[in-house]
Amino acid sequence: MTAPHVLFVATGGDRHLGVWTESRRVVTGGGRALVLLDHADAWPGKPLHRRVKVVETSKLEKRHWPRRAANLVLFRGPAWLLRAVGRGRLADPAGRMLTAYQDQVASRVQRLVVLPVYRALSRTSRARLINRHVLSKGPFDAVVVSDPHGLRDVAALVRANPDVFHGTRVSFGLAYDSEVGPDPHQAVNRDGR
Amino acid sequence: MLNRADVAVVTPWFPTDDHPYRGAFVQAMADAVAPRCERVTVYHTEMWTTRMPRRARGSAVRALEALTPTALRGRHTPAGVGVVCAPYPVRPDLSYSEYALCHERALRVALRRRPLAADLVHAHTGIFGGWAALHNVRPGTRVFVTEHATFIDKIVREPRARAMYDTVLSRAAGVFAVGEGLRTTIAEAFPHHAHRLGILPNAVRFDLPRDLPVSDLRRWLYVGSIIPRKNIFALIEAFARCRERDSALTLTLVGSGALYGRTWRLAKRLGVGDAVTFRGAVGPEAALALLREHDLLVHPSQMETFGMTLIEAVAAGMPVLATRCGGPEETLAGVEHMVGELVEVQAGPDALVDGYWRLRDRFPHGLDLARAATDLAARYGYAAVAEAHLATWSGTGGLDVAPMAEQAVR
Repeated sequence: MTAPHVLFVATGGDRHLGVWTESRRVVTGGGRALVLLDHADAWPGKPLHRRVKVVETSKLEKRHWPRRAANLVLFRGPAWLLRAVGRGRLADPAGRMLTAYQDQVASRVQRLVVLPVYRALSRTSRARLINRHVLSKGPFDAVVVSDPHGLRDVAALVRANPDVFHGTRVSFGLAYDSEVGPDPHQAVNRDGR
Repeated sequence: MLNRADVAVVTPWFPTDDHPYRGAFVQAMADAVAPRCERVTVYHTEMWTTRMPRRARGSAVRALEALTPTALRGRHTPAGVGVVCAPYPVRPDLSYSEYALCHERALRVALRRRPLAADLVHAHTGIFGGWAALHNVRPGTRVFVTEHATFIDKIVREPRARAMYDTVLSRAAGVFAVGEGLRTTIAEAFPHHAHRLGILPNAVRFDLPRDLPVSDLRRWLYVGSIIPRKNIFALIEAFARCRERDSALTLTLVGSGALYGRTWRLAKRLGVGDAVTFRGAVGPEAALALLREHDLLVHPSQMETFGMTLIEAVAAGMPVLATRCGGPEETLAGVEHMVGELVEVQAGPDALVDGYWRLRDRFPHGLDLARAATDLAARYGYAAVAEAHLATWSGTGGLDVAPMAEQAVR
């Protein structure tokens, strides 16, 4: 395969060195690598190769309309309101009130209610988001499942897009190049047939 | 003698891109026996640790089962050994017994709930590979186990894990430790199985000589995890003290682990930051290449069951400075003065510093690395270790595992 285009699904960021090594190997070998992560700052110490592209699902989700609506209600609406009434002598108390509200109320509601509910209800839409923003950057010659979160995301993607994944090699690591049949002991073969 | 067998190897550790050196000894064993077997297939039950909530982990397992039939998860080592990846999502804080059950499930998912169809199975570590293998074989398949673990004492302290380990010892056709020290530890913990415990050493390549012999002992090398048991701080302190007398000394650390950052800060604080190179974890081939680019392997560990890198260093024509931490004094027995210095285990650097200058004083004429390598190759070379495995597999001892297999493989 010449200049392969490889998608690494490492949404949990749990297996850094493997993704770091394999994505580097792809781009230094002349290929293209796209790493799908929840948060790029999960790996602060050892950045990916500069030619490796990264897509963060957390950013995709933030742009999704339910999250934008929740953000408007919890953060931007109250901030606009307090700034509107907090003029002149009321500016300082209004500012303090806004900070306290954001720290004590809005952030907690966001963390404890909005995000869990969003994630519980939007598994399909997460797959749709990934589909729209990641698979559209394809086609990919290979998809590497790189951690436990990646298992869920790739399984959902394959389920939702059987046509897209037809002919795409899904593997548990770049080194794995062979199919393993129903009887693995008889069927590890070199050429993947 | 059993020849041309179809062998399955079940192991919790095998080199991968995420852990390049973990389980290098299992790869060496598989590569060593492969030329004498019809086929060798390694099943690597790899724990993918995650802090996902329990329900999410459950859905990850279901996703794994859905992907397993079509995903690419097989490869071959350069020696022709087949490797099947058997990942499994787990919490990082499980007990030994819980981990054992996860290894069992990982293998079951990888096999798609069919029993292992090999002539015989050789598993690594009793509580993980041994347990997983015994619960995924056909009735009548013989399962052998090699124990490497440094944590037998912890298993013994956990009642459920202890019971599981006892079961493995009862059911396996043969159980082997990689050295006498570990064999004794297991025998003391399970005295009723002491008579069934044997020794099977790790395999080491002796066919890769270095281009030029070591001419001085200035380029130190450490290969291993950067964890408390390895006594890495004593190494850094010893290196700093020796460098006060010889500013040409350098130290390369190969490996990764929890003390990585603190080790780096200690080196800087002691003023040797510029002379210490951190290479991170590398694969077995790269580690062997590094052995040939350095002058002295320093192995400061507090406890080892075998000490494979020491033998690899001698095979690479390299002297060693190591602690008497269990494995090394046994594996280097009879040749220790030919290969370098063994010093007592100490929390501080004194023994290593004294050992280094003693070694410098008698290098090169006080050593005989070539003779030691010949001697060690006869014990730990691929041919010798392959022969030992085949002789073991040919033995008639062992128990039928049918009851457990019938119960487990559903």
